[in-house]
Amino acid sequence: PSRASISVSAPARPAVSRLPRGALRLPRAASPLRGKASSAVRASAGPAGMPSVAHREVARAVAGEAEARLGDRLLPSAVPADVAEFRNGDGTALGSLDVRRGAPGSSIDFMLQSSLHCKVPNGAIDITSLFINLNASTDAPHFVMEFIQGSPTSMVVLLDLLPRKDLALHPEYIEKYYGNTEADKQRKIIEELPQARPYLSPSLFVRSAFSPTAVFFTIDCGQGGESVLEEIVHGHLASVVKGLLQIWLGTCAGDTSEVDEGEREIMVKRDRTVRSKSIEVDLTANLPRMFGPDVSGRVIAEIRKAFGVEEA
Amino acid sequence: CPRPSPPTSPSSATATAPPSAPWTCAAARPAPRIDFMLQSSLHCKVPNGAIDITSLFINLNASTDAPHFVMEFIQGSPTSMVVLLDLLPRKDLALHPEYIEKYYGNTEADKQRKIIEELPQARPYLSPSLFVRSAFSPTAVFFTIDCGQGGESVLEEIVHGHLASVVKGLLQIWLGTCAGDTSEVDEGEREIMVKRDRTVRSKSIEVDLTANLPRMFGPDVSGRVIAEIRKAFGVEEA
Repeated sequence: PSRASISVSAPARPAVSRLPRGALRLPRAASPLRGKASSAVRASAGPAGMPSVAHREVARAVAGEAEARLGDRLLPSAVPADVAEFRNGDGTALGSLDVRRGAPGSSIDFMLQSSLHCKVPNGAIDITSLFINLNASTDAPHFVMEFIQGSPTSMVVLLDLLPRKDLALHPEYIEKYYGNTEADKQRKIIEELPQARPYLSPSLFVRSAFSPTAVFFTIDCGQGGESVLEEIVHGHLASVVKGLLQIWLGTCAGDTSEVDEGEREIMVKRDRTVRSKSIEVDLTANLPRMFGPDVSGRVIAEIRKAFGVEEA
Repeated sequence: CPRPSPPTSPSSATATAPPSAPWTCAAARPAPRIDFMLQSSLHCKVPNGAIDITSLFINLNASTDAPHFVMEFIQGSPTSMVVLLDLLPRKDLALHPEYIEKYYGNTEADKQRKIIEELPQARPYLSPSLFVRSAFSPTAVFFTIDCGQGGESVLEEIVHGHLASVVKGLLQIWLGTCAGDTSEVDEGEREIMVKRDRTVRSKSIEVDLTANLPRMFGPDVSGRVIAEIRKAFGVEEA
């Protein structure tokens, strides 16, 4: 257990404003059960004892849908127990992480789910993520989803089909994965909510990595707007997340087009750069603050392993 | 160095002959890294008023990978306009975080963007073209400024005030960091960069001009104008 428990609350405040910066990789998971966890059990038990939050239920449902559709293209989870669930010394910060590697021969690299709950002076921060990364046998986009909720009335939503190629050099890639799929229609659903405003990451790198149809918004329901936010989360947001997952499952996860050899080298390098930079911008900046060096070190190491970007 | 006179008719566009930049005319010394500087103005009467579009593009050549300077104002009414202002990247940013640091981080280009973002009358403008959205930098100033009914003088104040200041600020950044950049371009990188520049230029012409100009000027005039621009851009039609 970390001895940083007292220092978690104080720096966690600045961490609130820092957290959305990277917004790509933070260690949390939807469930303490690994492998073939049934979605029914998952839905009823908060992971690692976390209080229930609407966006976490939506994330769990989406992850369940993804796992069901991908079936045996995913191996059971192999995350060690002390990373599957983790906490700081006094239990004011709880986290869970689940990583499932792709089966041999599938185009899936890994699926990572995580949940984080951190008490802060005036409430709590809840962050839930789902990343489904494809491997080098395809250049189709990765699936990326992250919800960062800093209060009961407002949250940041990040949802994208993360591009694997230089878009300005490959307009046909834009057409195939973003134009023809009408991914932008999903983005517009959130954009048109009166409570939504565009969210611009403080990290220029993060801004550059995302697609032209990325759903990157703050949803702010104002004072007293707790139930409005909940309605939006279970309504419009859940619908858009499912819509984008369907697009991804249909167009990306099943893509069988060949990757040109020269292009593959660039793509692999690009994937690694995006992953390392995200870990650097996001996790290594924020996790130690919340969980102390030991716990966060273990969790980050597990994520680096999943991402194939072990520290030198 | 010959410089065509400013356009006197609504249907003319001005292209400055490369490689001279107007401010070096007296010295008669070529600016080795400038590909071309293009300025254009369009004025088109429409039933309820007019559309005015003004552009300034300063493109660098293949001896440098520094960003191009891009500015376009599209005014559809006396009370609202779209502003597009950017240091247009020449490399795949996600693959080159150091390029982001050098031209966008260290230059504090984002501070300029924030000045417009913070105007109550400004809201982010998302191009209908996914390609255009993808080509621009993370600090691109891409906003609609809408001053509402009766807001003619407010818009004018903003244009002469905040907007002018931000455009000048970004031009200074560009002149200081990009136009004078002397770093070498790696041979393998250059090939990709040249291809990328060509793709961005052809796509922009396709998305923007060939879609809109014939509507405003008819096929003959727009054909001539577009051909001149293609020539400047080095993307002649096959």
